Amino acid sequence: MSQVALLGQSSLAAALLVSALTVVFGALAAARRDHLLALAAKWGSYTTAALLLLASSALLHGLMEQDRALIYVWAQSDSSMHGFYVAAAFWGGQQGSLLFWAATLALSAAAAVWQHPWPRPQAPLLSSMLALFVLFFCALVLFFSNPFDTFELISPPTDGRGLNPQLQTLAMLLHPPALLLGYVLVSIPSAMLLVTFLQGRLPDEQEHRSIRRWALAAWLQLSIGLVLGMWWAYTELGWGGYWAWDPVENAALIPWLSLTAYLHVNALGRRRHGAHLWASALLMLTFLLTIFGTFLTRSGFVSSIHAFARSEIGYYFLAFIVALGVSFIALLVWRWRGFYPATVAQTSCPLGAWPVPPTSPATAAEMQARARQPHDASSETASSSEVERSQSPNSAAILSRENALLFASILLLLLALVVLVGTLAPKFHEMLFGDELSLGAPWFNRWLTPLSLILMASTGTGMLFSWRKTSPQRLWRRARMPILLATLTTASAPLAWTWWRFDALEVEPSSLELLYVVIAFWLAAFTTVLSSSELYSSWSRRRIRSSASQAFLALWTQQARRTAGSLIHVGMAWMIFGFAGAAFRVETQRSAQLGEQLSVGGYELRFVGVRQHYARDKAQVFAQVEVSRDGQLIETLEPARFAYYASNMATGETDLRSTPMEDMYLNLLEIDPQGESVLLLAVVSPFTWWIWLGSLLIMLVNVVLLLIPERRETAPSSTQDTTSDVLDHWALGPFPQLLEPRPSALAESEESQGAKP
Amino acid sequence: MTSLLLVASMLLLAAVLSSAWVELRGAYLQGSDKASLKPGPSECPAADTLPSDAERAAPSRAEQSASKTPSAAQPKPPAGQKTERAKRRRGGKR
Repeated sequence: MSQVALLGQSSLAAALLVSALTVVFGALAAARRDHLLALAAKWGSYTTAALLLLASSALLHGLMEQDRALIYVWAQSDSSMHGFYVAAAFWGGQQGSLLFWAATLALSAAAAVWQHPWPRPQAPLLSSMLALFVLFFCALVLFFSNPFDTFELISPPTDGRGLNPQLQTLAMLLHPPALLLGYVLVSIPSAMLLVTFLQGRLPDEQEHRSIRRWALAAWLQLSIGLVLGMWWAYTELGWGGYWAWDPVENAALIPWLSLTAYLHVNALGRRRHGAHLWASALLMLTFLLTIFGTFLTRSGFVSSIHAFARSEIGYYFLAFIVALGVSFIALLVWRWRGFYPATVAQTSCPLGAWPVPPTSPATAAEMQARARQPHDASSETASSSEVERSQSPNSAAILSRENALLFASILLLLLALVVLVGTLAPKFHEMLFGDELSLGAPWFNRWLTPLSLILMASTGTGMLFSWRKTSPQRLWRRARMPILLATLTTASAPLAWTWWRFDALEVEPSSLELLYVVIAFWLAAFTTVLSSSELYSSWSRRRIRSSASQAFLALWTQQARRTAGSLIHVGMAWMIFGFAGAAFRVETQRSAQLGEQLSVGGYELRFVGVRQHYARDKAQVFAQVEVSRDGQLIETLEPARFAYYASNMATGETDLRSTPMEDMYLNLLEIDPQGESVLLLAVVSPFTWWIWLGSLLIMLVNVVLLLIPERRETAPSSTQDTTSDVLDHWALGPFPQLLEPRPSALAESEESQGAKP
Repeated sequence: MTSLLLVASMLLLAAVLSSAWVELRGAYLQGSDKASLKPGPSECPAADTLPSDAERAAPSRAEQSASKTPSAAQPKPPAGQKTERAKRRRGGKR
């Protein structure tokens, strides 16, 4: 056995042992309230992380040094591969990706334990719960899918098989780890939630914030993973699209949808007691769906283009889901009474929990006073308000932001359900009836397009609602200007269409498709106008007392979540705009002789020559195609074919010209050995550029939101609402001078805040 | 480069193990009774008071006790000397 294999195997075995001990120590520490055992559990979490980091370093070292004694190194890399791709082979195969999962999970668990307030009794329980997850992955890696397995041959092979050529791209360098990290990060808030359930209570305010931040980080990682996967499919697979409704793609989309639903319900804070339970259920569902997605990816249960990841271990994931699901439901039933504040005080100290004392009169009076305070316009809108809850539980009117958020969460869950049914239906149909059923893009589009449009409409209108109650008159006053602008924008679209000569695409969508496209354009414009106006109004209000840059900073320091929410909705609107553009997509396959001109979607393409290049690991042949419009040369695109020496495989490489209006996309399907003729796939895809721009905006905003420390939640009064104030200003019109408050109003405001004249 | 990573990982593991040893040994030598997480009957409710509640409640209780009971830290006026409050009261009666 090589030294790397020995180091890796022993690190893995030690990590398995330490994580098992951490599970036991953490549970015992919580049950017996023993400080020494709690400390042992904490250090157990850190040691497991360090051991798995060492195992990962050993595998990376084996790959980079091409240690051929390891089967994994032989199967996933070869000596001619570029260093980056050799490193990417770490997660390119089944065994390596599972080790990556285990290591990142252990590191995240250590971070969560380190961050957790110590020595609260929840801490050892959290260590134990997270160590249980790590233990599962350690056992999988060590016993069933070990990257440190070695050849039993006298002389190992001289060179490896190499990584799948289609995975040797920049997007694939980042897509799998981003998605895997998203899956890993979902398990941290889920474990935190399970710990509070074990204690027979719901998360307190501090835990609520912590869970939300971890969930937000997971959402960011899943979003990055999904978008990079789309980008890879678009630029590498060469069929001109970015989403094929492949089961493995769907398996990543479903938890993203349920996590999005969770984040929407979470925005309610602790306003409504039922919402708290609903949010908890959504988070647990997301966790189960991430494991279920892994089961679909790894087991080969459904047929997929991701067949390289198939193995028998998928069924261990299924067993893990069942065990977790049953435990969660059992916990809910067991601790049901404890989730209601009135009963928490009466429960005896359960496993590691100290009951919450009855609220003292002083605290209640303070909370009443807080609720009566005039609401600071700069504070966050979502908040905890036990006073409101106790006085008028669940008393929000139908037209309220609370109900809009709950409605959005139900719609998102419905979307996830449709995707799940579409993914599993072919397999179940085959099992029941024996014949194959294919549910492709038309089926998904038929069901998901109207649902997505309703969701987009609720996204836009949801921002118009105030907390607790909104009168229809007030709603109309706030909505009329964005409606007018969105309608004007959509109505002017045919003019822009003619001006840009999109009629040259010669696409004739059905009347239903056209209706969907018009609605999507209108909703994208409406959401963009509404969100932008809200941000602009908030900024203008702050600018009265400070400089422009300070007002901009205040948007992020005083109301970060609301600012981020508005910008993320703008990003989603742009993505919807890009998706709607696919209705006018033109795709054609044409062969061309040297010098011949083709006409596609208003463009002229001329095949003018061939260029060859020999790299260390592959031979490259580029076809040079001039792209012109109205006789004017715009650009020369170079789609190519790469032939990889090690794997003896050839791939088509795309080249594209991307603009906000449309993408010109070329893929080289075949080329004559003499370079005299080519077979090209040409795609003209309107507005695809907006999908990437929207995604980029969402991710950047999310990163900024995660970097800003979260403020403690404050309780707004039930009648005042910052958003409604802001939008009431907008109802006056998009003119800055009208947005500024009257001097008398400013004086009143100062008086109410106790400011000296 | 990866050799450095490997060595760094080993050093990290050694640091974690030695820190664990120091902290666990210290806790063991101090005795489990003193450092126990186990709350007594009186402190049982307070130990898991939600941090937000605790932070909210603490100043209020302090203020309450300060307003109801005479503070030991506040110096009393010498005998025979009227306090400002008493002077105001007398003035008010006139």
